[in-house]
Amino acid sequence: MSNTITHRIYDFLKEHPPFSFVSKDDLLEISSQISVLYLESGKILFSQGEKPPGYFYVVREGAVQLYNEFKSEKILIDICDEGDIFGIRPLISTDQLYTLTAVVSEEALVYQIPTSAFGVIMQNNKGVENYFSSSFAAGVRNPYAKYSKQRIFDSGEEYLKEDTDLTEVQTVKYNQNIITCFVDTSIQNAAKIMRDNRVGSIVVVNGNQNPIGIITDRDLRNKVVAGDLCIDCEIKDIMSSPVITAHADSTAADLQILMIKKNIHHICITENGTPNSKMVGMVSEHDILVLYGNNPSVFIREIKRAKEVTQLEKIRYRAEQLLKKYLKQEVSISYISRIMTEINNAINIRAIELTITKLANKGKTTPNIKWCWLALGSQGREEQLLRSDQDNAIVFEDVSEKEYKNVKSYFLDLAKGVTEILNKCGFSYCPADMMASNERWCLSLKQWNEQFNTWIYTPSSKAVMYSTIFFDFNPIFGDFELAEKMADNIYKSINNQESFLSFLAKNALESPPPLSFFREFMVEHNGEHKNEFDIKARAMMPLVDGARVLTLAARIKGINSTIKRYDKLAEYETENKELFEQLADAYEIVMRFRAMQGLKHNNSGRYFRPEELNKMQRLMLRNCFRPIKELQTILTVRFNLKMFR
Amino acid sequence: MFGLFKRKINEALPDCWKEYLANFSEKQNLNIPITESKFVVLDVESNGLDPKKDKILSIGAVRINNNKIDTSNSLEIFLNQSEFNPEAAPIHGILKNGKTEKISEQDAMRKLVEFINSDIIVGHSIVFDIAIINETIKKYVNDKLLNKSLDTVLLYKRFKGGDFKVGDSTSLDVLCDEFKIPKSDRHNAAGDALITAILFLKLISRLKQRGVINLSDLLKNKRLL
Repeated sequence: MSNTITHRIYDFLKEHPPFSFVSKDDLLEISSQISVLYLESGKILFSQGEKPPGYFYVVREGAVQLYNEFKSEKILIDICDEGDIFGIRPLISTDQLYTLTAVVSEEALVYQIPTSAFGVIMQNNKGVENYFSSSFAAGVRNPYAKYSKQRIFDSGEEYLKEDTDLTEVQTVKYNQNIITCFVDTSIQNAAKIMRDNRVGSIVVVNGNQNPIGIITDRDLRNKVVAGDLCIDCEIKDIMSSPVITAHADSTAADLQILMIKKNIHHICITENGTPNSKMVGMVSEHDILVLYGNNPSVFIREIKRAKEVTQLEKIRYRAEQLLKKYLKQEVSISYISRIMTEINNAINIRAIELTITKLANKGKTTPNIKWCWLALGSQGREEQLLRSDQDNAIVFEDVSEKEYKNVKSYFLDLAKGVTEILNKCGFSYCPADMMASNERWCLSLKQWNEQFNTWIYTPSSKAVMYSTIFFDFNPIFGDFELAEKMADNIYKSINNQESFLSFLAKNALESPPPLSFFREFMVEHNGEHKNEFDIKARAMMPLVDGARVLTLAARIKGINSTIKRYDKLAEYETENKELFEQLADAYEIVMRFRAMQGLKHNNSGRYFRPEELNKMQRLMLRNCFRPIKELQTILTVRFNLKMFR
Repeated sequence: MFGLFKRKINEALPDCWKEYLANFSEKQNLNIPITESKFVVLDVESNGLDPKKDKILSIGAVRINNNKIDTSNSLEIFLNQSEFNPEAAPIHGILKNGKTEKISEQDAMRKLVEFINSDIIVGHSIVFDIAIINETIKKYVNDKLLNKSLDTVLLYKRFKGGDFKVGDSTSLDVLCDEFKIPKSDRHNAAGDALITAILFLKLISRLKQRGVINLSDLLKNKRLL
């Protein structure tokens, strides 16, 4: 055995949780049992559905990506780099299969650690156990990866404190009205108490109200009804004892893991978390499952059923908590934005439905013509994560001059009601009044076509500005065919007036550059946001505008999301594939970043002070700004923009 | 080159050497993928660079099985050498009568041959390491190591091909930087053996992409550069 090598591995592991919680002797023992794996980029270390071997892994160098494959779709769940632990499932349970696929994304050195080496230590060490239980319940290796890494490194204390954040999202509502009885109660009486109170379980307590056992209807069925014991016997003969207890502060993750490990369905909550203190409540497996019902499909179902605006408001707030959780768990942005778009769209649709009903009750019926509600701007691009200003419009079928007045008046009323509901749900009114309730943006198909043609044929700076918002329209409710007709008209007009694209391209170049010559962040020099970095204007706008003009030029129809636009462009122009992929990644990073900042400061996340970022965040942002410059070069060359100067 | 010709085992040899030679009684199959082969990666620290005159101070070695470095099966020995060159000490961090437990030269050679069996020996400038080990072994038996060997310096040159220029450094330090290999406490035999093992895995992975798949592909050409 080589001590030098063992110590070298130890020196690395001790800096990283959960090894940082392990005593020196134990960790040296673990270090002596490790194998070092060198893995080439692209190598699959394990696949979803495979049976885990007796190992788990820690990245020493390089990067490993974890994917979830669902119906032939690969969703990136996590990227593990130096010090990150993955493949921990065998630690929790031996009979489960891998739920994720691990693919090496950057040539990697990985430590392979035998599960057996870690099992004993896990049981003896609270910090380690907590670490794993929250990782496990969150479904990923480390729910606080990357963004709060620094804090995790400091100490176990900090890490455990951080846990409370997750509890906020997942508060376990434990039942405080527990039916109890004493040990000398007869089985028959206990069964009666259970029946009278309509409960499936009863907790046996001593004189101090400390829980000493539990009986469930299953015990009654299996032990009494089956005939092993008589109903006059005392309850202590059939109760399960001792009782598994936990503290009221325990997270859902902790409780769930405890249930899995002990193979139980109920946990008693006591004052100090041990069986030797007063019982305060009980959590059942069902309570935990209900909690995990906080998922997108449940939200959408609830939205569809909502009868009141206040319900929509609440659901949108809860969706934001879900967003927070997703961001923390580093779920991929394309997945998050898809879900948030679904939720936002569902709210939008419900708001329209509620308003239609309300108008009908007042005797105003919807005109019997085709019409469509359009989302614009970031909602239209399906990339609205935080609740930002609403931008929307209405298009309706061409009608006779006689009908026009009534039709328009109805849709303006409708739009007024809908925008009001959206405003209540936290999508504040558009300050520039680009909403369907504005008579300028509630138009017939013919009027819209004329409007777009005016912008395309006489591209003033104002026209270009409107284009950047209205060209990203996305049908939400009604007759989607109308939206398609609008798109057809736009492409037809662009074919006749190719130079319009040059104006759009020029506009895409007008965003100020993100970095100075010395790769410092360019901050605002004056105004309300002096010395702050404007991530929207300096990083997001150039990416969004660039994607729009390039997809229009390539006549790619029906794709609005910036990331998807770059993905599509990468398919179309293989010679620039790499750049477009980098741009898609860059947009994903800035979107995530802005959402994180927004949730942290409870604002739009648009402005922040560069010095508040840690080194890694700065580096990450700087790297994703690099391809923006290349994008702008492409635009300049392709649209002959030098002549515009 | 160390041949594989059949030798008569001399009854007068020490048992450990007889056992060592017995490992070579069967011809090794070289038509197996590199990734399924066994290697011992070795590093020797000595008090000088003359195999005939200088002495081994320590030996570090790790095993590679199935492309995996098994650190639980590693070797780290320090030798008790009466002659000691104080100038070499600061580089290696090995002090005469320091805290580490030391064993005699003879015991060290016994442990070494027990560890390496007939596996292929890998090392950085391995010719020197094998030469000084052979000089040491010669003091006790009239024989030398029979293992095949691979030099990571030569593998590196093979990987670089035409890009390698005469005069380019091939020191372990420089190669670690180029291949992004973490290198804490270098200049210690076991530490260097681990680093060399990682370098070796990275090199064979790159050579694999150029059709060096089987052990025989790896062993032939090895003196090409």
